[in-house]
Amino acid sequence: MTTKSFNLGTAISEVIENLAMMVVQELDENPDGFNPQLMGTIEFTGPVNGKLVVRCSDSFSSVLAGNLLGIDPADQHIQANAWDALEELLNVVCGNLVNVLFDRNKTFRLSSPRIDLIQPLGTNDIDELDQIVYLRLDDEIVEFSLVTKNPG
Amino acid sequence: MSINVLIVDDSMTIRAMIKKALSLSIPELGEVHEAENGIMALARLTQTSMDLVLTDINMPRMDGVQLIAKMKQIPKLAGIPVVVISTDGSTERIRDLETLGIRGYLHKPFRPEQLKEVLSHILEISHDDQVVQSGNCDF
Repeated sequence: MTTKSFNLGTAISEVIENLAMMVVQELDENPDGFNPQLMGTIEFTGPVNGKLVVRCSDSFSSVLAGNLLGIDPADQHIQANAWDALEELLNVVCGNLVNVLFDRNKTFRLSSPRIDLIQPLGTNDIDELDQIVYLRLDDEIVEFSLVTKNPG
Repeated sequence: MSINVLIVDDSMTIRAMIKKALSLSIPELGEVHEAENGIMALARLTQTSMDLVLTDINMPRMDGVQLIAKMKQIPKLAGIPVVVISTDGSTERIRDLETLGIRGYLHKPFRPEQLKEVLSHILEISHDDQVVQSGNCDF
């Protein structure tokens, strides 16, 4: 099964705009000064297997949590929710993407999202890197990369 | 009559968002309880009387489908209306959930007014007829 013709940035932008009410702008290339501290990963299995990876700054996770919860990003309760918010962003984006991109009729199983401090994107286990997009979300830059593998 | 609600989702952020949306959607909102997965939800349901369950599907330990199936096996819980709030909107999944007798489905991301629309219809029916018929979905 091949990936349908799609614009990953547009698909992700639509989900984020609806979920977090953030202004999203797709960037043409890897922006100068992009210095992510966090990396999140969620894997999917089904008619197509793969993973969605997000890399972003630590401050983005706080801004995201603030938007989702409707509270100030400087609020003392934000930090406890910041990584959880990023996990849920991955979950919602991936859950929507797999049906839009691959097969709307079939059920995909998603792993629990995992957030870690940044490491270089490994390539050893990657069969195919489909696409990387850079988005400006409010004032933050976020990178999403989609990796697909042959069905198990 | 106040309406007690159980929110089942492994994300505390989503639980907080749903809780806020509930306060805007149900004027007679009573106690709002939370559970991180199906096992914790079942424990809460056997301890406290609930009028509505809002559950995610993809959760660790016991997922939403397993939770709903378990609830249908327990007479005390079988009639509680269940609304699924999930990213999984495939036709295959929706069909399976219909078979399990869920009363509504919301696709993430959702707007508070969408939750209000689904709940207003379900709670109106429940007031008229306390026994919710399996398979009577509000899609």
